[in-house]
Amino acid sequence: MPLDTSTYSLAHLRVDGRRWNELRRVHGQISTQAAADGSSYFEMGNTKIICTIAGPQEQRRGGNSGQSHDAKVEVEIGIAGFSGVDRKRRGRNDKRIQEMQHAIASAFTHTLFTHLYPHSTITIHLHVLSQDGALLAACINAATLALIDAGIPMSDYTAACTTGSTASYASNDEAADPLLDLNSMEEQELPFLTLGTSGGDDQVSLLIMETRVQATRLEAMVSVGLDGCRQIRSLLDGIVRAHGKKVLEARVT
Amino acid sequence: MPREADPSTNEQAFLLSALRENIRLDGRALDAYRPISLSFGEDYGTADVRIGKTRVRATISADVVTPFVDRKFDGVFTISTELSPMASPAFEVGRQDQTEILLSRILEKTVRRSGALDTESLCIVAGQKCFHIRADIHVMDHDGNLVDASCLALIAALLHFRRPDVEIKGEEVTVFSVREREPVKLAMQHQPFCVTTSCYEEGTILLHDATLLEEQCREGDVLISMNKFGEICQIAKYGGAPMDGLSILTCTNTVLERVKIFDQLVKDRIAEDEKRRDVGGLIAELSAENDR
Amino acid sequence: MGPEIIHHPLVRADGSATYSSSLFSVTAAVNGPIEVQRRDELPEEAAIEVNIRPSSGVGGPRERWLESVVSGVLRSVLLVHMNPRTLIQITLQVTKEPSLKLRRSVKDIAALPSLLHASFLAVADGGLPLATTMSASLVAVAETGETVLEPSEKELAKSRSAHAFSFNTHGDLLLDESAGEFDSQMWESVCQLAAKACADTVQRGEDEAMGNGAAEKLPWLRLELEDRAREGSAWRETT
Repeated sequence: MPLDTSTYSLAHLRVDGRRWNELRRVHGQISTQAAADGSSYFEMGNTKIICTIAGPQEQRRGGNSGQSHDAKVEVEIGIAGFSGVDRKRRGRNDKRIQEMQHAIASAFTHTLFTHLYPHSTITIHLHVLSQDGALLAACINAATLALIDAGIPMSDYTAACTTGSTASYASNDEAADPLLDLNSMEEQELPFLTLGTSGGDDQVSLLIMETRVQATRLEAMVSVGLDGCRQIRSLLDGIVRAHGKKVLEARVT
Repeated sequence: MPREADPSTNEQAFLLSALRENIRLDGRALDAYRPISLSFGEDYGTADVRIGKTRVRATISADVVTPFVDRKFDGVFTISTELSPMASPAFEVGRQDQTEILLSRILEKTVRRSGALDTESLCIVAGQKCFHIRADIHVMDHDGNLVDASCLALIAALLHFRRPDVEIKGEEVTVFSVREREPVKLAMQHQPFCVTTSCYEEGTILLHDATLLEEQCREGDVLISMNKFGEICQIAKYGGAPMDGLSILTCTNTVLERVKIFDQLVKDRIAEDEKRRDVGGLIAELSAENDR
Repeated sequence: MGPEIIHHPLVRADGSATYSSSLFSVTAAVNGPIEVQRRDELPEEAAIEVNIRPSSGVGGPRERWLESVVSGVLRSVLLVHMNPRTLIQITLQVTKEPSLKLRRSVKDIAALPSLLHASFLAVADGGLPLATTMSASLVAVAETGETVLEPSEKELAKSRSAHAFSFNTHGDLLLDESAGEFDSQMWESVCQLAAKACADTVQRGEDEAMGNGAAEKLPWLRLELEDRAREGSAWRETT
C-alpha cells in the first residue's frame, strides 16, 4: 500500500513529508521554445510539462465551424511514454486524453478574448514529460503561462490544483482531512478532484472529480482547493512578472 | 457532415430573456424534468428511456470470456456508446465526435469507476473464465440531456438484466441457457445517476434537463453523478462560464433530490416488470436468493 | 395477422418506422436528401448509405453485407435520379432478435425481410420519391420438404433452407437470397409462394374473393400506406 493512512493520523505528515495544506514545489519558465508563438515549461512537484502555442492563425480548412466569429481553441496533449511509472503507450484516441483536451479547451475558450480573432484557431500543444499527479492541473497552469507568452488577451489567469480527502467514504467520518495537491501515490489511494479558477473571487471555471466520495466531504475539498488555486495564481503571477522584468531589462541594456 | 443547425439570434435572445424572468420555453420550472418514461423490453436487460423527445435504449448482454491477465478475479464490464445518424444527422457513422466521447467518459466514470457493478461476482473460474457484461447505449432521438437519459437507461437495464446461471464441478463449467435454468440478477452495489445542470447568465440561472435548444444556448454545464446515499461518484464541469464555488455545492443538494426520484422511479418500474413476468408466482418459488 | 408497425416513432429523423415481425424488431430512420461527402458523391443520382446496428455489439462483416443487400434493393425502389449529388442515409437499429440459436447464415436471411420492410416504411414516411411499392417475404423449407411461409423461430431452427425474396408491385423480383440446401425445382416453388405472398401484402385479393381471405390475407402494407396517405391529405379535407 503506497499510502499508510495510520501514520498520517499520528504525525499529520504525508508520504512526502508535507502537511495537509502544502503545495509541492512549483516552478515555471516562460518563452522556452523560440520557434513557437508562445511557450512555457511548468513543474508541479515531479509533474513536468512543456507547453507551446500556435496561433492565432488561419483556421484550417475542413474544420466544420466555418462561419464562427470567435477564435477556436484546440488542445493537443502528448504524453511521453517515459513520463509515468509504467511505459504504457496511449493512443491518440484515448478517451481520457480527449476528455482532458476538451476540458482545457473549453476552460480557455471562456477566459481568452476569442472574439478578437474571428475565423482563426489557437492551438495549445501540451507535452507531458513526467507525471506525478495533478496532470490536468499542471497542464492548465502551463497553458496559462504559454498563452500569456503568446500575447493572447485574456480576462484572468486560469490557475488549477488538486485536492483530496484522507478517507474514501463511510468510515471514520469526522477524521477525514482535506489534502492539497496530491502526488500520484496519493491519487491512486484517495478521492480527489481537480479545481480550476479564473476571474478572482473564487469563481470555479473547471471542476473534475472521478472518484466516489461522500457529498459532505466536498465542501472541505473545494474550499481547500480554492485556497490552493489562490496560491497557484500568485505563483503564476510571480513567474510572469519575473519574466516581464527580465525582458524589459534586456531591452534597456 | 451536416452540422447541427445553430439556433438563430432571435431564438437565442428569446430563450435567454425568458429565462431571465424564470420562464422556460416549454413552461417547466427551472429544476423540472420533462416527462420521463421508462419501459423494459421482452428480453432481460433492455431499457427504453424517454425524457421528452430524447430517447435512449440500453441493451445488456453477457458472454463468457477469459479474464484479463492482470485482473484474474474480475469479470469484464464494457459500456459502448456509439451515436448514429438516427439520433441526429449531425452524428456521423464511425467517427467519434465530442458528444460521444463525453457521454462515454461520464458513463464510464459514473457506473464503472464508481463500482456500481460488482465485477468480482462475474468471475467464474479465476484466471480462466468470467462473464463479459456488455452494455450498448443506443441513442434513438436526441433532444438534449443525452447524458442523464443514457445513465438512467443504463442503470435500469443493468438492474433488469439476468445473466445465465453457471455451475462449477471441479474444472468443468456449465453455463445454463435461459430455458434450462432461471437466470440470475447482477450484483449491483449502488445505483448512481447523473444529473446535468446547465447554467446561464454567468452562473446565476441554473436549470435541469435542458432541451437541445437550451443546451446550444447555455454558457456552461455541471454534470454530477450521485447515488441515493449521498455519495458523489463524479463531477465534471468542463470549463464554460465560471461558477461560484458555493453554488456548485448547493447544486449537489438539488442533484441528490433528483437522484432519489430517479432511484424510486427505476425501483417502481422494475417491481412492475417483475410482477408482470411473474405470472403464477412461479419465479418467487424458484428464487433462492436471500434478502440481505 | 400482419406485422406490427409503429409509424413515425422518432422525432429527429426525417422519416422513421418500427417494424416488428415474430422474429425481428427493427427501427429505421431516414435522413435525406442531405449533403453528401465528396468521396461518396454521385454526379447523376443520390447516394444511399445504409447502417445496420445490431442490438448488442458493434456491426461486423455480416452487418456490412446486409447493408449492401438492403441498399441494393432500395436503389431499385427509390427514384435516386430525382436528387442527384445528395445522400439518403438510412439507419436500421435491430431491437429484437430471435432468442433461439440459429445458424448465422439463416439468421441473416431471416433478418432481411424485416430490415427491408422497416427501411421501406421509413423511406415512405420520409416522403422520398419512390418508383414503386415493394414487399419482402421469408420462406423456410423444412426437413420434410414442406415450404413454410413466414416461419416461426422453431420452424426456422429446424429448416433445411431459408429464402428471402422481395418483389415490387409489378411482380418483378428485386431480391433473392437463400441459405441452406435446395435444388432449382424447390427454389421455383418457393419463389412462386413468395411472389404470391408479396403480392398479397399490397393487393386487394380480387380473384380470391374477399370472403375466404380471412384476417391472414389482409394486405397490411397497402392498408398501412393508404392510412398514411389519408393522414397526409387530411388537412385538405378539413379545410
